[in-house]
Amino acid sequence: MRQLVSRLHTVREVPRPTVPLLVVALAAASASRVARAAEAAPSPAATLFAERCSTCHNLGGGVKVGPDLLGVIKRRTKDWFRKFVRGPSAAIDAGDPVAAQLYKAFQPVRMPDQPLTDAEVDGVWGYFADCTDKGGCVPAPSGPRWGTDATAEEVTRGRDLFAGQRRLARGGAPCFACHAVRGDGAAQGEQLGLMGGGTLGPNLTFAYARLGEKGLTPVLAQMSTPVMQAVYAGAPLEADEQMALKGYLASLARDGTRPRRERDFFFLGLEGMGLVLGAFTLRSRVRRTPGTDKERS
Amino acid sequence: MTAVIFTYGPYFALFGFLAARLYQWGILRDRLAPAAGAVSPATEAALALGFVIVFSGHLMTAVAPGAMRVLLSDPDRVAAIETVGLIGALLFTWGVAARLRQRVRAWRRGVARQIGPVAVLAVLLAVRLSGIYLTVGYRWITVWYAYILVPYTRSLVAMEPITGAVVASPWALKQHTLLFFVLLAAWPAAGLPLAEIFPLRAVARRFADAAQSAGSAEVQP
Repeated sequence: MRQLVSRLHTVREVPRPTVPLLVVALAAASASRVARAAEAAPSPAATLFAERCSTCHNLGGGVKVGPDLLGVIKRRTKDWFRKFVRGPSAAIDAGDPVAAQLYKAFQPVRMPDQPLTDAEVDGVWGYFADCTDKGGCVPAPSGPRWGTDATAEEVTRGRDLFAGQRRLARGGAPCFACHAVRGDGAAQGEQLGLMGGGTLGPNLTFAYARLGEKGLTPVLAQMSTPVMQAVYAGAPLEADEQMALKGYLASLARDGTRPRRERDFFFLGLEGMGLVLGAFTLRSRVRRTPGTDKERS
Repeated sequence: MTAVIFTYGPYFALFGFLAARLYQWGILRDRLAPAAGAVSPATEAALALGFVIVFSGHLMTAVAPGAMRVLLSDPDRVAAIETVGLIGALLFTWGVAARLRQRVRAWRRGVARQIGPVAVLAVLLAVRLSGIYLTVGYRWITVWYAYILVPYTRSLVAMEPITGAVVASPWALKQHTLLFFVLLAAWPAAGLPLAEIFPLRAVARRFADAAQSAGSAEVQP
């Protein structure tokens, strides 16, 4: 004990010239940390890109739902970009050849209008230039994980949850009961059973592209449509289930397969009824045929 | 308003059913409507088979929803069940339409007490048509019957109606459910024998006769 007290005492007794040096070192370390933090903090343009664009676009990471925007400053003019980003559908409909070419390459997804101010467009354009110089940028994560960040296992799990092959933890209805997705078996959205998913709710192939991360996350968390709210009232999705489903839907949004031809369910039923009725009629006629009766007697 | 209908409507329907049944037992002593013309044996068999498919599908899901939910957790199984269900529903509808035709003809001929059966069969036909519309128009009805209507039905039995999911569902489902309540309330008052829509005995007798005649043909030299 005495030894410990003596050691503590020794530590406290720092030689005087050492104290200013320690203060300087601490101040330098603190300043360096602040500088690093300032460097790591994303610019408003980077945050804007992360929040509004990175669901569908990469900057050097390859094609997503839309094209990779690395080097876009060299391919297009800023004026064209400003006009296009504010009204992509208008540009396509007006016959802009570049817009039409992009739509052809990435159809049927139409980019939603982004009402950016001039300052925001300038900022994002500058961010594109900066990223082009660096050879690419990874958008800063803003808040919880995105569907596009889901691992392959999560995507597979999401598919199983969607198709009912894995039950939801709290016993909610599987998504395929009311929703269909596109797919031909080879792509991400493998064919859901013999006749696909349900038609009570909308087809969710491009739900992630349409709603985006910000739109889809609350829908899965709160089940905000009237029917879903009622059906999942006592069985909300677990956080990991929401992530898996979001990941699956994000993977589907990249699916470029054509919608398959729906089999006409009603005519399938009519054919079945015709067969059964035909069999019954045939049987009753055979029983009534005099020749048959004679043979029997 | 819709929530009120779905909260109290079923109990009114049940009350109507019981009251009419008691009235029938006590005063009219099972006074059934006179039979109308017969339908073909094939139509009778279609009625029996269709009734079994439609009724057993609804009943099994209502009685054992957990087991049915497990069964309905695979898209392939759901597609197969729905197809069989649709064929059953169409067969049953075909039979009901044939019965209704016979009753309307009898009514036109001036046979007594035909209005009740005609009205009830018309409601039953409307229930069936709305069911087919639901099956075809909003897939997969079997699954959301298990998740929407069964909890509602069970809550009615527990006298604590939970109407949220039914009220939020498409109008076709609400219409189908309400028409069923009307049918339930009106059935006993119509004096229509159950055998008219579920001719199991007649079909079984026909099969037994056929088997017997086939057997006797084999025995005879």
